[in-house]
Amino acid sequence: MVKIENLWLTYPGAAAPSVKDISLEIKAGEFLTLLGPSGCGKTSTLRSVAGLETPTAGSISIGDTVVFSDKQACNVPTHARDIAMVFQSYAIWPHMTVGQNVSFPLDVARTPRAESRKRVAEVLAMVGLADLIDRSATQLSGGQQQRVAIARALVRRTSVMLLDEPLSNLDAKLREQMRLELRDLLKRVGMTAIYVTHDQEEALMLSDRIALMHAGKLIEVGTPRELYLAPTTEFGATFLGAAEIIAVTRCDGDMAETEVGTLQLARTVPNLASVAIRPEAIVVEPAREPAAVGSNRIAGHLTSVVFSGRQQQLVVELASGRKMNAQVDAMRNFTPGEAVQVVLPPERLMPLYKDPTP
Amino acid sequence: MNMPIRLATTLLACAAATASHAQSLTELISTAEKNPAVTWYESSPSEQADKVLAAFTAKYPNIKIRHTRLVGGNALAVRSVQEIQARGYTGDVLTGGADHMWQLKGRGYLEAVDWDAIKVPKAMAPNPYMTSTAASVYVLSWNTKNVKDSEVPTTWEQVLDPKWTGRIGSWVRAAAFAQLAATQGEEKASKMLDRFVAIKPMLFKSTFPLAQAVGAGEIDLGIGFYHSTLPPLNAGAPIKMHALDLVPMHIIYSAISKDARNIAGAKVLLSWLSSEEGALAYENATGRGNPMLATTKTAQFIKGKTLSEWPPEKSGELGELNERYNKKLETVGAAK
Amino acid sequence: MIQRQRFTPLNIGLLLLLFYLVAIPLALLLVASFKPSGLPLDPGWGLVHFRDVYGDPGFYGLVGNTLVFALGCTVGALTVGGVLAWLVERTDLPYKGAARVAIALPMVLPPFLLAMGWALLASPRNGSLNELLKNLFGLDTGPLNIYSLGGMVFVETLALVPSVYLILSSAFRNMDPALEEAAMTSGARWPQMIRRIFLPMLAPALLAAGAYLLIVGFLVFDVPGTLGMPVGLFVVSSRIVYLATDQSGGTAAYGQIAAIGVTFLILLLGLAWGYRKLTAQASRFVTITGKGFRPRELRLGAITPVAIALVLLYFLLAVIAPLGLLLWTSLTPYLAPMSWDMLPKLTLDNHIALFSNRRLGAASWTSIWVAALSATIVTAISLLVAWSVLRSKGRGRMLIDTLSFMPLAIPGTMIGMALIYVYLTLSFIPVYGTAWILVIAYVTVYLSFTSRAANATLIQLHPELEEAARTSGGTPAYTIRRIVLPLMMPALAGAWIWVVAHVMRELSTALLLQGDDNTTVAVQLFSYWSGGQPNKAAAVGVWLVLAMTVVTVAWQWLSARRPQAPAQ
Repeated sequence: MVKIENLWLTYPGAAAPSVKDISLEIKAGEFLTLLGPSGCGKTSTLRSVAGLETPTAGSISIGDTVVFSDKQACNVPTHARDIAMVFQSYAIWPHMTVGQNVSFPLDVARTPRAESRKRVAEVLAMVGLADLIDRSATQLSGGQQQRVAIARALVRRTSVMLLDEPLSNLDAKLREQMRLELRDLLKRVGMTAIYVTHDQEEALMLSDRIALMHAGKLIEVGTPRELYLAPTTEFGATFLGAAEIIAVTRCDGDMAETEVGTLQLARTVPNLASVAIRPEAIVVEPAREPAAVGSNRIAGHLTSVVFSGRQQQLVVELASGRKMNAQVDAMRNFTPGEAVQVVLPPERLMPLYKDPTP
Repeated sequence: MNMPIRLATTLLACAAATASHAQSLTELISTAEKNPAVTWYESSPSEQADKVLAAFTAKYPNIKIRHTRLVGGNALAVRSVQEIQARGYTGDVLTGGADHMWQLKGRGYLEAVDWDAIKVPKAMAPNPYMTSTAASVYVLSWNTKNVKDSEVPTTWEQVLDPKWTGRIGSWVRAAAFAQLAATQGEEKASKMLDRFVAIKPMLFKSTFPLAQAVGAGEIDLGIGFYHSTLPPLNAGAPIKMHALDLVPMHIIYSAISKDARNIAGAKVLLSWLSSEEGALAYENATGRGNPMLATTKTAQFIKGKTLSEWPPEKSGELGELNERYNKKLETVGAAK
Repeated sequence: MIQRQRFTPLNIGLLLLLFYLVAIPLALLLVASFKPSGLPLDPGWGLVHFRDVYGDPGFYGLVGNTLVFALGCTVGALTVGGVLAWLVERTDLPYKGAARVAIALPMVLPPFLLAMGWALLASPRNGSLNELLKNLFGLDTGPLNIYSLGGMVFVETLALVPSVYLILSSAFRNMDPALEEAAMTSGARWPQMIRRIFLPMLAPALLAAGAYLLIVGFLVFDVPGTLGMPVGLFVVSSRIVYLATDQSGGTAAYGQIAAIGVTFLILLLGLAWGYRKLTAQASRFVTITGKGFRPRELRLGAITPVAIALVLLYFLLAVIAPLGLLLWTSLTPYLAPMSWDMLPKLTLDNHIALFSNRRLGAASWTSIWVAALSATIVTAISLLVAWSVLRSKGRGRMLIDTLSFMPLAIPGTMIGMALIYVYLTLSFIPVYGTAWILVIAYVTVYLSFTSRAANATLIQLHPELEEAARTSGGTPAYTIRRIVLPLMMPALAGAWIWVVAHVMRELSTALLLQGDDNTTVAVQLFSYWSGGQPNKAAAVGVWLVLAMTVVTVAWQWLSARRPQAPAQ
């Protein structure tokens, strides 16, 4: 549905480009998240799709229409693109009621009043605000404003919905609740969504695919499961979830020489720069108990044990001096200083290649 | 315009020019009635001008006439220059100060008139281009509550007495002194001005608020104009005025512009303004009378006094004198 | 590679309009400064005027005086206007509607009437206020002397406060309290809050108002002319007026006026550049977001009476006192200070004369429609200029911004002179000598103020509000109509009223452009005052204020009813 090809964007007067050679293809009905730290270019990319920024080079098409192409000197203005957008600041117009805010896109298209009213009511019901239709916009809470913004974006039934960190201004509880509602809504309506966020938990929960960005470049693209369980770059491993990175000095078939010793890998991997393992994948056994099955066992002792409700966070200091964060079940009993055995299951060791150059 | 039309127009113009010299007043009147309205550029407020026009129309009911108020001679002169440069003609009759008329004459924008033919006395018209219509006459005014009759100065020497320090007011322009130089010589006038500055006069943008200030008691004496002292006096303010031994003044002249739309009508107007009837009507309406006509109140007011004014051809020198004297007068502030 | 900056139709249209309105008078001004006779169409070129003006040591003394005066009024007006704006918009001051009307009212008083009123009150010899103080405290001489630099600054400040109030009040009204709350919860106290939050956030509005005030202070004539000239205190404008009306030689010395004007052009360009540099990071000043805040009002509590007293004091000094004197003067047969012995002489003749004056009726109608039309046109242009400069990405924005600010540097006499030339030459546009030429003049002259006001307001509007409209399918024109315009309406309405008031009282241009039947009320008023009838002039002034009160009250009532006004 949305095709971005070799997109470059340098703001006037800026020293370096904000978007560097991004290429992405988003299928119809897909929920794709642009994920990355602040300044990585995700919002710039989204705004380029919206037409709110003019890229320096590349091309963008929405559906069958080319909306931007520097080679063809084509730049369709925002209002003519088949998109709707939800902003971080909600951008609810204070001088209108909820109903007027939501009907605005229909007013632009000169939709007859009766039809407009019907669709506004429909879409407000979808977001659960049906009885607020005549409320003044200035009298809404943050969450309500967010829903109005979403309703407004839905009412026109465009092909694509663009969302720029829409939940980041809500408090934690509300955010969790709205996340799933949002995804449900979009799936029900069948819109293609491009979602921008820096919150990786959100990205994991909502997306069909995640596009990981850093310093203007696309680092990795994949499903949440793929990116979480099998990232291919160090950035990917550490940004999405936590990871312990173990540098690899030499590779020999499916064995890797690392700083913590020789490790058995699940398979042969050429060009290995390092391996990573998720804290929850690290198996920690008290040293005195008989060893469970598993290769890659390393001795160490605990330097800290923190109980955090759902799990326990352990910090293990290995023989080599290397410290590792591990996560274990809440029911296990550990004491700081205790000697332990750490097992790094080969199938949980994620091979990482060199990061692409910025 | 193409050649034949141009030729015809020029011939007609020549014919008209020669013919006008020979026309008598009656002929002028009938020509004027057929032409578009006479436009008169002059500086009196519209209410006053209305009265003058009413008197003129009573005498010449079929000559249409319109008055445009242009405040200040400079504005009038500039407007005329702009209009002639842009569209070739300006108001038919222009009334302003000597320097303004002289400036316009220098640019060739004024029409030469045979004054005899339209019965304008030679004494009133110093040259073929302008005739006197009225005058701004300098007088001394005083507040009757603050100044006893016995103290009131009757000569310039008495005015310059230091006992009047801080109690006298003047126009911000030192034009009175510049005109005094015409009969007293520049050196003496300059010394008089120095002494005047020394008694710290209060300066006013125009002589009308000056007279009002005398009436209100803000200042005790004022060197202003006859016509601008009339309003508070007539309204009952405690103010009186008389002419001093030397009377500087500015004669207001009227002229006819070149290529005016209604030259005949303009001549009739000038003829009327120079007559006793017209001059008195003008004085009654505006307060400014023609000092050359003995029956005006203005002329009677200054009877027997020494008048002092530079003739129009000396406008250039007068201008320079004004510049120097104005600068001197401005130093009143530095003295504080 | 797509060219990033192109000329958009809006920018082209605005540039053409501004060239026509502004660049032509500017060009005539520049040309006149190099013509020996001072008239642009005369022959010859020369630097004689620059020599005469800038080679005269007295000129620099004038500039020094004027600088002190202008700075004094600027600081004074910014302070008083700022405090008043803050009190009305950010605190729980009672009777806000009345306060807004009270503060806006002085706008309609022609400054020379204001000055005249204060001269009657505080002249050292027989000012009414001085007499009162002498009797109260048993003094020998009146303690107040209005004929001084301090007096000039005082009265001019009073006259300028409404303009400052207009710009700053809309800036205050649109401030998000979250910004202040963030500061307060970080432990900041008031002086710090003012210095680190208020002042920086309000910087565009302050700078817009300040730049305008400074230039006005340099070029304004009425107050310094009435209160300074009598004691020989001259400023640059006195020189300009002198050159226009009193210069001997038979014509106005436009050449020298133009030469002086050139300095202000440069000064103005500098100020405009500074404003642009400061506001280049426009996002810093955004305060109207789509988050729908309710501007929090500070509770005055114990100091409420003090605040009310302050507003009343301003009202007393700026409106009641001069209006009282005007009323008195309109009832006396000749100019006289307030005293018991004048009481029996009071008469209604002046007022009666007004109503039987047919010319005044015509002048009133002319003033009303010229004011309304000019205000509407110039406000609309200002909105487009502000939008083009701040929102459009087309080329020529800087030029549009500069051109719209420049007319301020052109003295009113020069604009009048320029327009006469233009419309005498373009005689197929039948505007010369009619009231239409006044409309054009006023649109040109007041564009400077209204474009600053519009700019300072639009800067506060979060761009996402418009982006949301665009992503909802709204074309730029539709977005302006339904989003930008309604949100900017309070500020635009304020600017509209300001223009109406200023047109009603404007004098120098109306005088210069006088034709057969385009006399305005202000010209009529001046005609009375300069023709020896100050009492009738005062009467006109009284009715002018009354009429303006009605308009201002109506404006206040209308804007209070607006639904989005956060009235909680």
